[in-house]
Amino acid sequence: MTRLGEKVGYAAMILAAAVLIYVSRSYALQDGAYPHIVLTLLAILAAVGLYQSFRASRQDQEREEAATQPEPERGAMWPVVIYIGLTMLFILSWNWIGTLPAVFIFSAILVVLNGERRIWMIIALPVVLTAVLYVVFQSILYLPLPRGFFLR
Amino acid sequence: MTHLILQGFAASLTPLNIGLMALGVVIGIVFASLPGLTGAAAMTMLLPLSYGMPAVSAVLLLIAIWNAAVWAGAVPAVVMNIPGTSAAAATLLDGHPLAMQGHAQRAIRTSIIGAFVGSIAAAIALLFVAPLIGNVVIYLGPAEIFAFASFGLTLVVSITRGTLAKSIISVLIGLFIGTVGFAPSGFPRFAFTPNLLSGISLIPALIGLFTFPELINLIRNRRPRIVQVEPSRERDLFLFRAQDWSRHWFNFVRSAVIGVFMGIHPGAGPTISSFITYNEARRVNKSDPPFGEGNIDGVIASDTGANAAVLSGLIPAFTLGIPGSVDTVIIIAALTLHGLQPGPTLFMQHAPFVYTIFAGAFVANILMLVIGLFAARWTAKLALVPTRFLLPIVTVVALVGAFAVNNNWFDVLTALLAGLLGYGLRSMGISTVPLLLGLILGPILETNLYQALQVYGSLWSAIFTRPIALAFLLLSVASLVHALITRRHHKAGSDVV
Repeated sequence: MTRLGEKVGYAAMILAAAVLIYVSRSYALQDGAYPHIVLTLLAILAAVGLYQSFRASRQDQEREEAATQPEPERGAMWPVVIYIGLTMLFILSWNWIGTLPAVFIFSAILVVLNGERRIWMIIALPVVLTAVLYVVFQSILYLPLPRGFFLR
Repeated sequence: MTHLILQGFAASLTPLNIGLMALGVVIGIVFASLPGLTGAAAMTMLLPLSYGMPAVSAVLLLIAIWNAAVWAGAVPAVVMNIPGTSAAAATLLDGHPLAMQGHAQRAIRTSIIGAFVGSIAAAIALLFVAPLIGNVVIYLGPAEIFAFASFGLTLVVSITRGTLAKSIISVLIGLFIGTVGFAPSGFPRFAFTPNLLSGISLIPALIGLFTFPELINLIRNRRPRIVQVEPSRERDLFLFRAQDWSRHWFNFVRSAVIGVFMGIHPGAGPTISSFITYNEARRVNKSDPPFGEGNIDGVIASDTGANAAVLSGLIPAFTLGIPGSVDTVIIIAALTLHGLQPGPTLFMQHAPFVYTIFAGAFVANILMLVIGLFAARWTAKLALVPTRFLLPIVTVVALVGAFAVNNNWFDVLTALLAGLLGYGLRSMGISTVPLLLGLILGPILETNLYQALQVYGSLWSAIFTRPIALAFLLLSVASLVHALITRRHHKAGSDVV
């Protein structure tokens, strides 16, 4: 992660701790003391982390100026963003179109986005995955998966 | 006790249990061999499915996965120079040079036999040491349990990778998440939706924390270049001859004993154990070739030590309810899913169950040995399964599994959010292992502190008039101070969990 991301992470922790302490200010001592201690310590350590991150940024800058070799390459972030976005849509779609149709569509999209071009494989994997989930959850475990608006 | 042990063997040897343990061994081997996935991910994914099984079968399935996964990581380490699990990193040091010299078959067989010896030693410890501890801990009160839980947390914090501050941040996040829902007094806290009244569901959180960061890493990281060594066709009889055992038996025994102690020690686990036993073997072994250049004693030490630390990790988990690793957190989650409370009362109220699990651990080991010896040749090939197939399968199974725990859509969202939190923390160099332990130990810590205050009136009399509680709190402080001092010496911080 970049130093900026690290700083954002620590700042988010401080903010979250402050908000949660504020939210719980009305709790009785026996209920509020323990989470207050935990959150206060978290905010303090996150502040220390934030300070160290700023200090490390300066050192990074100096090191970059002196460096002769480039940093090792890591994959781009956008496939991760697409993956998280698709997973979010997948979860939300359970209540609209039902879990099993959502599984079929989601897995087909992921297979294609990850570079599979053989049509039979693009169809076979989602079909097998959906069938296995149907058999395991509906037929063996009798767990009703969400069926969506259309099949209600 | 003898009748309980015999009863345990009889109960664990049902066709259902044997079938599930064999399945667990296969799943463990497959997950440890797949790049980027771990036995913990397999265990969390199958945890919801285990709800439909009897409690004994569910726990035996998970133990079989865990035990097999810790060993199976050694196969890609030997054949391809890619450790399937972190514990297999020590096996790689001598296992891969052996494979390069044409002795892949020897290295793999030694690794599985070492894992078997280590696991049997741990199963013996489980069978005889755990009940002794179980008999003692029933006399402990809330002050002592609070002190034990604190000690467990500080130990884990002190040996987790990264800076001490980052490990404490992780544990504090876990402790906070553990406060969501009803307080020990019955008052609801941080319950912003009715779904949060009973707290954050542990299993969906586990699924998220362990599955999604690994999947995101699979997307982001390019695969390492794989150099596969084909096992040679020559007959290799190593460890099938008595003379091999007469030369190496002490290494097996020493590594097994160290491994068992490391497993009981909260937070240590197979990875640390494998490196310690490897270093110990290197220290005393002067034979050729040197360690790191294909010495078979390196493989024996690392794999025996790693697997000896697996089942022995169940001793503090079953007797005190204090998990020492992520895998024991998952086993504890499985117990609670089936209405069983790990800790002092488990041995009193469910002795036949406990002994069935302990006896089943032996059966799981034998299955691991048989399946491992048979499947080793094909296991290494699993590392070549492409990400494009792994990604949809693991994502879908994990999320549907999270739903299946309580039949609740909110749990699916919890899993995804926990996954994002886990990935964010890992990206910041913060390990999620202390978070998980904080999450499971937090309620134990707070409830026992609350009860101790109710019984003794003040923190002072609760802690300082109870010598065992005081001793463990002092040990907690000492482990933190020790960690602080050692990290100052090695500024980068140890990289062990």
